[in-house]
Amino acid sequence: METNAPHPGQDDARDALEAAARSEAVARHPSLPGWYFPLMALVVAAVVAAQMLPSSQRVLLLGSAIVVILMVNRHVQTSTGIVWDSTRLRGQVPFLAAVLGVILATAVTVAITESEWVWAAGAAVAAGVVLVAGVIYARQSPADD
Amino acid sequence: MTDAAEDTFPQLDAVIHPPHRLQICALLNAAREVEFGRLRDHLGVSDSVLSKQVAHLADAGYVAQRKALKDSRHRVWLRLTARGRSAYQHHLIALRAILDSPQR
Repeated sequence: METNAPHPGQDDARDALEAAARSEAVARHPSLPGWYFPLMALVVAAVVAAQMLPSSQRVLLLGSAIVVILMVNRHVQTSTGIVWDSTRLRGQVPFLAAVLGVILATAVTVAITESEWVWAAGAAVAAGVVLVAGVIYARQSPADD
Repeated sequence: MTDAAEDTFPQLDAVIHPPHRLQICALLNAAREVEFGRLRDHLGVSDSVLSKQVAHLADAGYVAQRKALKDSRHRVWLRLTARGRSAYQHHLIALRAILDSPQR
């Protein structure tokens, strides 16, 4: 094991910090399969649209959606070779807040208008939020990943 | 730099300092676990080179390994230990201190 502390110059220190930042970016934004965000958009849309279904079917669909989300995320992490940490989950807070905001706004609109079909429109908007999140994510992923 | 200044200057970690090991620590620091093959591809090195670098970090108690069976073959998952995470953070602080110090 090395014991002597190295003494790099400022240029070497800058290069080392930049290399570390690049590696951290790769772990924080690994390339995801092209189908990941479209599938997540479909699941989120199904959960929102399920509000038009009877209660028992709604619960079944919500449970299925949770299982699908967990399985897909586990598969993606295993196949990309990077298991995400909690800082990544914190980064998803704005996206989750946007989806919940759409669901809340849809629920309020349905309550005011008493038009169940608004849930279908809300599902489409929520799916759109997920797809936009996918585009933003792809832009943040390092090019050399 | 004087001896007194050198004493108070943050020390670089000799185990982490080599470029490949710094990149390994950086990748592991931003994830819960990273698979060996993924690290190898990111660094662009052979299995043996990566094994050697990981062994240095493991010997220092900075990296822990876990073997998992997937598709009938073993895959090795690596993670930074609490000690490794702390050493990596101190190493970054020391590198930034070099950048912020007056030109020598």
